Amino acid sequence: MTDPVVRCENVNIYYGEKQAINDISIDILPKQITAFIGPSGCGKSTFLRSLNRMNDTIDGCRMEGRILIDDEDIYAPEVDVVPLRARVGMVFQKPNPFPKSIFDNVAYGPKIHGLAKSSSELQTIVEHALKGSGLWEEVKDRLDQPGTGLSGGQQQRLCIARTIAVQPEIILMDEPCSALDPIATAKIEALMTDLAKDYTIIIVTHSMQQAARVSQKTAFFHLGDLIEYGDTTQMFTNPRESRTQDYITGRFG
Amino acid sequence: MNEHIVSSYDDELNKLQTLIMTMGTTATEMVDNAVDALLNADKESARTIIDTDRAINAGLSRLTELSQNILALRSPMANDLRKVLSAIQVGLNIERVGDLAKNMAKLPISNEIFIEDIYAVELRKMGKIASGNLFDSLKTYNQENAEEALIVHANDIRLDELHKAFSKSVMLNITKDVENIDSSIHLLFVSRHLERVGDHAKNIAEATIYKVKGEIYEPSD
Ligand SMILES: Nc1ncnc2c1ncn2[C@@H]1O[C@H](COP(=O)(O)OP(=O)(O)OP(=O)(O)O)[C@@H](O)[C@H]1O
Ligand SMILES: [Mg+2]
Repeated sequence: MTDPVVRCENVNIYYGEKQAINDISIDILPKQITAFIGPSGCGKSTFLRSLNRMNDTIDGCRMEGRILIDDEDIYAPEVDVVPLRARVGMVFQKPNPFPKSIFDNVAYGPKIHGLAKSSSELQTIVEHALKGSGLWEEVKDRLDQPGTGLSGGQQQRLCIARTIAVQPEIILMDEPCSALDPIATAKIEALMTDLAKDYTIIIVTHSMQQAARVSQKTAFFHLGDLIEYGDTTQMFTNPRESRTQDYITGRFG
Repeated sequence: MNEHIVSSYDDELNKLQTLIMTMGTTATEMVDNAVDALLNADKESARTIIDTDRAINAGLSRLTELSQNILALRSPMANDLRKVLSAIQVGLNIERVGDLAKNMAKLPISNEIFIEDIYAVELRKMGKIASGNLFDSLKTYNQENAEEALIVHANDIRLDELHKAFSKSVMLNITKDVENIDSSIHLLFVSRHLERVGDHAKNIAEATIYKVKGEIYEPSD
């Protein structure tokens, strides 16, 4: 048995008075893809954001419980969230490149985290990240052009390059393909599978097929509860819980 | 079972089930009729059975097409996926039963078969058990009753034993009754076919267990 990289223990999350996550405990295994699925508003994004403390930036959002990454409590007072968010990177639904060149988009993170000692080293990091995100061949001749000029799928891969440029351990993805066509989606999915050799990936998706295609583990959320968590194959062929079955087969819950 | 949000999806899955039951009922009757046609040397009825087999084959084509469409267009998951996969499995088994009945029906058309009374009684008994097991297995499939499917599955032993005893007896007789050696060979053929109908019923019972529980049934023997 491999040790989990993320351990969540009795996590509760509130927005003001309203509780969005109810006492969730879950272990995430390293170098695998874990999918979070569930109906709109069930708390997938909220829970995902708690894994790199992105919820800290939301007014009135409060969390209880413990989240350990590599046995370290990420909510401990001494934890600096900036390196934490490099270690636990995030890719959003809508690609959000900076209004800068393709090169600068990727170079920004390594620069501020002091990962490159020289400009040639920075170039190597950028090239490596762009290759890692499968974008290098498409952009190597126009690295000085704005990232916003790329297609949606390319922009999303640019954001993935930006995330991996700071050498994260974990990559969180919140509906990364929901704005992409099937070809761009397939490229991202192939990329995810590739990236899972080196990184732990957690993806929120509304596409059951996507969860089934890319992930090894699937967690089903409903109304702030974690209903079922298990091997993806089992979840999609023979789920244990009737609520999971009703959801993935498109029935009324 | 809750209904799908998209009700046409339920309609399609229900259509699979209806088609299976229609094909299955037809195949069950074909088995009964094939034994009757043989014992009564009824060529007319035998020809009807051969024609009916075409309907079974057409049913299987329809079933394959429907299943293909559901798989491609609905991406079924979990129990829905198992419904489609098991429907194909059951359809294939029914189609094989249709072939077996057709093969049996061909016998009285081109042969004069001499059947001793004791053998006629035995064959009738085996025919009833074979078609009965088939019917029961289809019922468990339709009603999604995995417990009952296990019982139907176990019942097949009886047919196997009858087939063995029957074959042994005919074989012993063959040497004594050289004049009717052709008839004896035909009777062995029929007995073997009925035994195989039972095997298909067993496969259908296994498909029921898979459909209901999501487990591939592996008998311990
Ligand atoms: N910033 C916020 N302030 C107040 N309530 C919020 C906030 N963000 C989310 N919520 C509430 O928390 C609950 C969970 O929302 P969340 O966005 O985590 O759901 P989700 O599963 O990601 O949904 P979707 O699939 O639609 O993205 C919802 O009831 C939502 O209204
Ligand atoms: Mg969300």
